[in-house]
Amino acid sequence: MEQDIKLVKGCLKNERVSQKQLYNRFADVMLGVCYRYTKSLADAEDVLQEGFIRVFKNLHQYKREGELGAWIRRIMVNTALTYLKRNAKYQADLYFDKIEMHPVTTENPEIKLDTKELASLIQQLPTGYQTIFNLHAVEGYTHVEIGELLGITDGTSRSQYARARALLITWIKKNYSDNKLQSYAK
Amino acid sequence: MQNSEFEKKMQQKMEELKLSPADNVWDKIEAGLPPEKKPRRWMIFILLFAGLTTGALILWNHFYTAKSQAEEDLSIAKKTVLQNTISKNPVSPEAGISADTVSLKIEKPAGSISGDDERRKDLTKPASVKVKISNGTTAYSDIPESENTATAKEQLLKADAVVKAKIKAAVPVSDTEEDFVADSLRRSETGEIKTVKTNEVAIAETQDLITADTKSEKDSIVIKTTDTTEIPVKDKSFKKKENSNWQYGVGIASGISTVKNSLFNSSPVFASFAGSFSSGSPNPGGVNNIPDNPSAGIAFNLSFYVQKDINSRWKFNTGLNYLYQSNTIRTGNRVDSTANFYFTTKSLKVDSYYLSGDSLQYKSKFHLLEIPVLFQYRISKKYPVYVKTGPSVAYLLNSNAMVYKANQRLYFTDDAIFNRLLLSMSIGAGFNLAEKSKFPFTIGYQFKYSIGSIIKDPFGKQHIMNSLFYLRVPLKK
Repeated sequence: MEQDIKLVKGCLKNERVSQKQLYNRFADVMLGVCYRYTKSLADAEDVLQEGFIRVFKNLHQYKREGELGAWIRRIMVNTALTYLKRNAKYQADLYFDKIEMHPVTTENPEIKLDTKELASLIQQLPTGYQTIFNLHAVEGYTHVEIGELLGITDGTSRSQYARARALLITWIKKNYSDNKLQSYAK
Repeated sequence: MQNSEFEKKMQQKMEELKLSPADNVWDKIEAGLPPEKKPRRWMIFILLFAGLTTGALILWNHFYTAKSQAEEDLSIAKKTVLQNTISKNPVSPEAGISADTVSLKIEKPAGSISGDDERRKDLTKPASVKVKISNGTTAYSDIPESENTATAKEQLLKADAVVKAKIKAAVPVSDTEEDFVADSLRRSETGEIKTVKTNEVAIAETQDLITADTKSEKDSIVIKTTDTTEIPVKDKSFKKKENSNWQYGVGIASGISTVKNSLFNSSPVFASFAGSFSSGSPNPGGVNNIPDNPSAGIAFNLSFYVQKDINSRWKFNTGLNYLYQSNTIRTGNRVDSTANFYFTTKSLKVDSYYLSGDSLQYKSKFHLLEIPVLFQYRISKKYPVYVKTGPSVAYLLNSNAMVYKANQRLYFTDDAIFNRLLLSMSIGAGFNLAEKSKFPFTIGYQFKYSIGSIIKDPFGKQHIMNSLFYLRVPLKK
């Protein structure tokens, strides 16, 4: 924490060394965050780049009460959402006018996939599902908050999340059984 | 639902997701940031140089003023001698000394004398005195019009006498000759005495003048004061001026160099900062031993120098040097892979590093530009041997020197580990050869040690030092 405050002070003075240190400290984790919201590593790096520029420009707003990492993470998520809304490749999938209600599955399958495999599955979700799933399941946003962030109702968010969750569970199960078959074949 | 087992597991797994961004991401971020206000190192360099030069000029001015004061005192002494009681004291009665009249002109002392002091102001005017010398008696005379020095010398020789002068009183220079004499008389009567300063050079010249110009023992002239201060009768000393012009030339030096943790102990260069690292990556597992201190490497120096006489013994010396120095260390294999290093207050990313070990010899090189500010003292008048010392300010142009990351047993380098500005102290000795010939030159030895470390905290401490033999050739004497 003390180290973070030192870094923040250096960054606020626009010291390049401190800025690079702060980047080096959080870049790996934040790229993981960006990766989950986009469809490729290159896009994730674009988001990371924009996100860090916003971090350095808005660092004076950091109150030093909470974790610096959590504050940067929120900026990265917001940057990712802005990126998705702005980028034509993602815009269409973020159009949530067709509200379809989906049953909520209460299934809690065992997750035997490693981190990267799981992130790849999340990436394969349609952008809308992917975004809402990340916001709710990983970042812990409520559906009301998600609604405000994306300009949709909380009901839409719930519906999209339920679908995303169900899809992901199906894929996880399938992936698990495929792996099992492959290991038997060997 | 959010807190169900599935979401918890998902959150936990995603927290662990870390991906390394491409190297150019930081470059793009940097391009989007407002430009950093870099400390203007060249400005610091110039200011430091200006400061040192000003200091040197103040010192030079101090010496010069002291010299002028000595000249002024000498001039007063001469006036005093001529103005006050002069006894003609023959060495032998057979000398046949007769009373004679001697005229001397006291010329304006060498170098301009300035200031508000009335006495100084008056000395800037040529002053003339005339003294009547009576055989065996003490007397004052009227002072007629002044004569020039040549006439004075001629007439002194005509006097055919040994003259003993006693200073009874120091007389301040007066506005008019009448006042001057009157004041002199008053002071000699009241017995006010002032010790008059002079210097060895003046004495030598006085004696030289007398013995050279007087062909016999009888003609020898000695002027003495009661204060045992010898007073010259001629202004020759003022004519022999120090060379006050700047001299310049070029030089070359070569020798050996290394880096040390400290000048006075043999602490390991690569072990003293082992504890200051926090954990980082990677962990290549080099040889677990304390690395040896660097071995000495070659060093050389190309210089352009300027120097100026402060006085007959001291010289001020400055210029611009390019200094190359090196040392070697033993390392393990080179690894070409990106690695992040996290320290207590810094972190670095490097593209390659060396493992600890003994399989490779790595040459650390330093390229520096430096401005020395040296004071040179000539030990002997007879022999052109001198010693010199002083600080120098150096700017590190480039270096590939490495630091050792002890907890991961590897060496690495990065621009961020160096202190660019460096203050050093040097000491040396030398002598001028063929001083009187058309092609004089100087050879000598110089030892230099950097007061500051060339490596930044917390990466360690490396003081550079070198030991060089040099050759200097003046281009303008």
